[in-house]
Amino acid sequence: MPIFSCNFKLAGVEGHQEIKRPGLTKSIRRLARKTGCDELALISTGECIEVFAAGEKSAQFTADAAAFVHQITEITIKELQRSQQVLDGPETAQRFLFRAIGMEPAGTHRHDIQTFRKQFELAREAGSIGPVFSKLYQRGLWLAEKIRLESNLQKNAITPDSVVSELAKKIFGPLGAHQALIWTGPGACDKFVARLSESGIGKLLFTGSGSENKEISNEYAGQLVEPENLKAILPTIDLMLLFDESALQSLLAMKFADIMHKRRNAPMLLVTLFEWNGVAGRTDPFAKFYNVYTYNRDELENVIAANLKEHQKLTSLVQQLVEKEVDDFLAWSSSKEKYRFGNIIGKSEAMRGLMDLIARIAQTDISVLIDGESGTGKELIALSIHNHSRRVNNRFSAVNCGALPESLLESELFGFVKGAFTGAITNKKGLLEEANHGTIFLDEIGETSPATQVKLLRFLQEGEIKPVGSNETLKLDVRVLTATNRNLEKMVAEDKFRQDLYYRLNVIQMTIPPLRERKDDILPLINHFVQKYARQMHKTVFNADEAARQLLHDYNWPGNVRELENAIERAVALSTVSHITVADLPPNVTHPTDKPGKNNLARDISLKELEKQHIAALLKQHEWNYDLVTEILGIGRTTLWRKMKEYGLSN
Amino acid sequence: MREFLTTLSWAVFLVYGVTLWHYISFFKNKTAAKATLSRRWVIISVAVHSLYLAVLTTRLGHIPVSDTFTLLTACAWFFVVVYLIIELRLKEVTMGVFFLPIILLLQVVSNLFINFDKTLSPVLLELFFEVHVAFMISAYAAFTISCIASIMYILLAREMQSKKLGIFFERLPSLQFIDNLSNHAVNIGLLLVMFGFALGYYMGLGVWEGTWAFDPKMIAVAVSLLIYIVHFVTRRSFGWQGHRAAIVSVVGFSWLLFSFIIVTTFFSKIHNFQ
Repeated sequence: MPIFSCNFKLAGVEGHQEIKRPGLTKSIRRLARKTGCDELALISTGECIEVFAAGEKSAQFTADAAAFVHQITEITIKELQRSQQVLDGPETAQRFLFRAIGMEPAGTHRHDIQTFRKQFELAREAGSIGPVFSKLYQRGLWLAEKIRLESNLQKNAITPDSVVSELAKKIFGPLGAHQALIWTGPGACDKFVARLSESGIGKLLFTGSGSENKEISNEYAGQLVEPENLKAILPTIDLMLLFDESALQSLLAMKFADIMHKRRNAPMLLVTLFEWNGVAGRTDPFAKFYNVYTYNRDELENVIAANLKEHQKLTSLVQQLVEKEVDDFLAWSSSKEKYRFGNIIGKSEAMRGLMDLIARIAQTDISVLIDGESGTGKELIALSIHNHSRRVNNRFSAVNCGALPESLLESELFGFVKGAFTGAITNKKGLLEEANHGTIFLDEIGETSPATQVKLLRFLQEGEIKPVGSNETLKLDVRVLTATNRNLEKMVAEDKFRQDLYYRLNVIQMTIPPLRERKDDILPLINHFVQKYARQMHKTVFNADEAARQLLHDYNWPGNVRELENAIERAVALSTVSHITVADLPPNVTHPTDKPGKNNLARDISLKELEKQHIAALLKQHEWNYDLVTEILGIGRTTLWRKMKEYGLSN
Repeated sequence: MREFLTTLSWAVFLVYGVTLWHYISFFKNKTAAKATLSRRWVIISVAVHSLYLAVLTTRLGHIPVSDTFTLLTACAWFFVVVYLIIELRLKEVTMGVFFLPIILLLQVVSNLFINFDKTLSPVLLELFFEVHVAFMISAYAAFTISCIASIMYILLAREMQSKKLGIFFERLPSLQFIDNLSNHAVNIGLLLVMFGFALGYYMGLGVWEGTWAFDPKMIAVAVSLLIYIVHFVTRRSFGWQGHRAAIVSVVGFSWLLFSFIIVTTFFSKIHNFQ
């Protein structure tokens, strides 16, 4: 799936950072629908708003995006159309990654990483983020962390204003309690002013000959000092910027020694930003004063030159890292991998959510209870959690608790010592011990006996086990994943399953929906299985034909993925041409006995629930035509009303 | 037991050495991973050192503050604990590289001259004595911190005056921060040393009578007290902030080290724990 983005440079546009937050997620969703993109993220940092998208690029895309940006920023569409610029794959990925690590591609401007993350999360909330940008975002986070850990980004003061701000921070620490005075002159001071106020300077004061004083001072909530008040205010100034030679002269005329005496030699930073023309000689007239740090323009330039060297080294390093990341990403997105998470295949909303959840929790040691119908692939999910965790190089063992008799299960799990029971002629390590530092997956956990449940609970809480017949406890570090296809909550209510163990296991619950509820996944699964079995059986079968696909899509799949896999295996084995035809499919698929829509019968639900679902379905089907529905149901109109009220059904 | 203690004492020295090496590597390349590693090593060294002191205490039968060289290692331990607290509170790891050489120095002097079975004068078993020593050690810890901060200040200020911004500008915290740290440490140290001094004087009156006022160690401490009072007064009255205050603090601490090691070894009659 191709990715692309368009960005709107907003230089000189007022109020560009203001995005109306309420309803933003809704509008992102609307835009995603309108443009037909599979994924969409809106990132606004600094002077640029970017719309990242993945999917088929429509011709209308930029226009739609512009309309959207117009809607949330109130910048005129004309302005946007003029500044727009569409980027495709590699550049989009690169820009995205640079945003994620908080840098501009040119390396000059640093963005706020936090802002980026917040905005991305907002898009995620809106549901417009899928596997493609999730992947890119994760790589971005990883990259940012790598850069933070391995390099030193401090040497990025490469403009005079940033050097001044770094100097001030090095002298005063946080600038909140300090005052700066700016003697304006012919040189432009707005950059310095902006940088200082960004650094959180306590107060900005302005004086001097510059005509635009007043304007600047208003913009940055500064204060204009009249020359006659200057003397009184000077001892409270910690940072002085002089843009004019005459400022230096008047400062020297004011008896600088007195000023320093009045401020009890508290440190001062004095920066001169003009050509020295031999006033007071070329030597520093402040050198004799104690605790005054002076920098002139040349000295600032020297510092910048030194920093620039370091900076270039760093930027080229970052550039390389990002380029490699982009290459990897493009290779990944053009491969078949993108709908696969480990071995999980699926592009439905539910499966994407699951993959996202796996990505988020795999790194932790949290317990996960996987629940889903038989054949939905619970073990696959568990394996994928293991493969994405830090335990990947250690063992993953799967135990089916239902397959073993109760006493055997206990000795299998916890091990036994020699002589623990008849036939125990040697010590035997349990599966838990074998899986130390790895992951254990307990399938059909609902089948375990109360005694084993107690032992398991103890293991989960203390991380300790006691092999059968042993007096010594063993400390283990094992991640426990469990699965069940029974309703544990109900079992807890019936006292068949320990409540405390249930809560322990159920920290995160992953529910794998049955295949009939995620029809979107059927097609990728068919492709996958066809390829798998064709390879295995050395057959040249590529796909299923239209009619067969339709049948497979419509079938109810009570046996879920496992049934689908078996059906495909059979079909591949039987097929005589390069694609699967209807004739190759098993008879229960081609002639389903239960029609779609009646699949509720297969589920464990109460009579009331069934009634509610039936009424709701009928109402919906007949567009809330009560007469028709009462006739079908064979009940009176008031009865229908009462039941609707009872079940909370309304149009 | 003797051999074990000797081995342990050098093991302590060794872990401090490793810790210092980690701090240097952190200083050279300031990364979060290295900071965590350094911090882990300080904690390990404190643990090893605590073990050493515990064994020493059981060997001597009392807490190891009874002669110059056991006191040195106890001091080193206490300093590191104080340092660790400061590092954790202020989240400022750069100080370690300046602090640990002092600890190494104290530990090596202690290791070279320590005597594991010295008998103790009964005078020293009094509660007063232990409180006196506790005050003095805490005061020395405070002065050590101030000295370290001052050295950092001087290095950073000099770099900024020279206008060639290098490693100190990049690594050290702000001047104001270091100055405040040093200043607070001196104030606290002054208060503690005054208490300790008064307590020692009161105790000495009861034990030695008359002649002891000219004890070299007492004179030495009185001189350092004077230096720190100068620090306190000039800072307040003459605006000796920053650089000058830092120099006074370094002078005061150098004098303290001098008095602590040299004077007690070669001159003292009363203050030698006999």
